[in-house]
Order: sequence, then structure tokens, then C-alpha cells
Amino acid sequence: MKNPAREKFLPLLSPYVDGELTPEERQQVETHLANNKESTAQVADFRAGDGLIRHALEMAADEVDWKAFTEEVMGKVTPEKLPLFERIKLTLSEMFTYQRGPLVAGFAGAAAAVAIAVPVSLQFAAQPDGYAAARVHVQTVSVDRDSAARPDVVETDEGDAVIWVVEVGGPLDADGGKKKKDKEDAEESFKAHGGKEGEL
Amino acid sequence: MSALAADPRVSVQADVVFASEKPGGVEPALEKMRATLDARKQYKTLKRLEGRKLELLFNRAQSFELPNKKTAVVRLLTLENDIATVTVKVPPTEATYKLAREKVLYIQAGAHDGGEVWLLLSQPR
Repeated sequence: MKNPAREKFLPLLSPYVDGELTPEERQQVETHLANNKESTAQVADFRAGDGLIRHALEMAADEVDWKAFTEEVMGKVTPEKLPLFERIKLTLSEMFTYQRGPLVAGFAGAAAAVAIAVPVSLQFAAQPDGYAAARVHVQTVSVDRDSAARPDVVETDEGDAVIWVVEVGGPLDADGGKKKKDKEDAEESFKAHGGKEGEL
Repeated sequence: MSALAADPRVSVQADVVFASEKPGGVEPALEKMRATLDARKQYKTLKRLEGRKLELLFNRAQSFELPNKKTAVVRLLTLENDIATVTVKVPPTEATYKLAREKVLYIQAGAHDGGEVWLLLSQPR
């Protein structure tokens, strides 16, 4: 046979055990429990069940290694990515706030490096390599005193120069035609003629 | 800095080229040489035999032997206004000339192996 009072309080028994009722509801439930053994037994069952569950959870928790828990959770947390400008601003702000000393030292070092490197590089950049002329200019050409050969200088339109060695009286020998002719003008000197071709 | 200024030095690329009027092929890199000499002699073989970079110090001669047993001697005479004056001796000739940017001095250096040897002096690349 149904008990109307128990029917009324039955939905409140579990919240009562869990401490979720208002003080007024709690007072009503406790009055009901004082008069109803069936509900009292059910509340006892709820509490026993809660105790078992809590105990089981505690045992399960003991078996888990929580050492890396924080790191794992934090590793999975992706912070909200700020816009580039904001990130730069934040980084600079943090640097100036917390790392002012090293930052100033770094800037001073960089300035010193630039102050040294710039003059040195300019010096090397300005170091003459000897090739400032636009054209090869042959100033003089001479031949050995006893040579039968004579030089013939050509300065080309492109700015190059060619020194042909012409043997007097025959093809050029490996030794340059030595002793083939007793040259009176033993040493010739050539003054280049503004890029024009011509024999000495 | 003053040590650098007091110790002028110039780099010169010296290439030795075999040339012949007999057909044998002109190396692509020597096509400019062929064109330069073409008005006077039509070489059909131009082959680079060797190349070396000379570091010329003031008045200190550098010499090297050519394939035809001649000895070439190169010496830095002056370095004024970034223009170097160099003497080069390839018997029987000795020339004094001014270097120029990306220009070449071709020197006919004697007979060799049925053809001729040329010495090319230029700015190192």
C-alpha cells in the first residue's frame, strides 16, 4: 500500500543525502524520516552507496601517478595567440621591465661592434685593388739585346691589349728567335699610341 | 691601416693558353681571345693549359714556368690612384703596363708543341 507522505518525500531523499536541500526542506525531510522507517532505510542505503563510491574513487585516484598531471594539462592548454604587433609590444615591455640590465648591455655591445665594424669594412672596401683603369695601357715594351724578335703592341677598342712577338726573318721560335739577327737596336721601347695598332 | 697602405699588393690572374691554327676547338671561355686575335691570326685551337692567381707585392717578382720552358716574371711596380703598374717579362720581351678592370693583356709567349703559347694577364674573378 502506498504511503502518500513517502511518495512526496521520495524525490528529496537523494538530494538530502547530498546536502542539496534548503534548510526548510531539510527540516521537513528529517521530520519525515523520524516517522518513516522505509525512507530512513533508503537514506541509509544512499549514504552507504555514496561511501562505497567515494572509497572506490579514492582507491582509483591512489593508483594514478599525478606527478606530471600539471605539466600535461598545461601542455594541452593553447594560450590565445595575440596579434603580431601585440606580441612584439608585450615582449618588449617584458624585456624592458624584467631584463633591463642585460638588454642595455646587449645594445651597448652591438653599438660597439658596429662602431668597430663599419670603419674596418669601409677601409677594406676602399682598399685599392689596382684595377681602377678602364683600359689596359702598355707603357713600354723591350726585347732582349740579342733577340731577333720585335714586339708589336695592339690596344683594342674593348680596352684589352695584345703583345705580338714578331720574329724578324722567320717564324717565332720557342726561344724568341735569339741570335738570329745581330740587332743594333737591341732594346726597343714602345710608347703606346692611344689604342691604335702599329709596329714598334 | 698604415701598414696596409704601405704594403701595396695586387692580385693578377695568369692564364697560359695553347693556340694553334690547326683545327682543334676553341674553349668557350677563350672565345673572346679568339675574336680579339682574329684580325691578325685565325686560331682554330685555343686551349687553357693552366691558370694561377698571383699575389703581387711591391717590387717583389713572381715567376713561373711556361710549357715551352720559358720563365715568366711578373712584378708590381707602382700602385697609384688605384691603378697598378706591372712589368711582365716573357723572354725575349719585357713589358710595363697598367692593369684595367676586367681587361686582359695577351702576350704571345713563343712556340710550343706545333702551336704557340700565350700568357693572359687579367683581373681575378
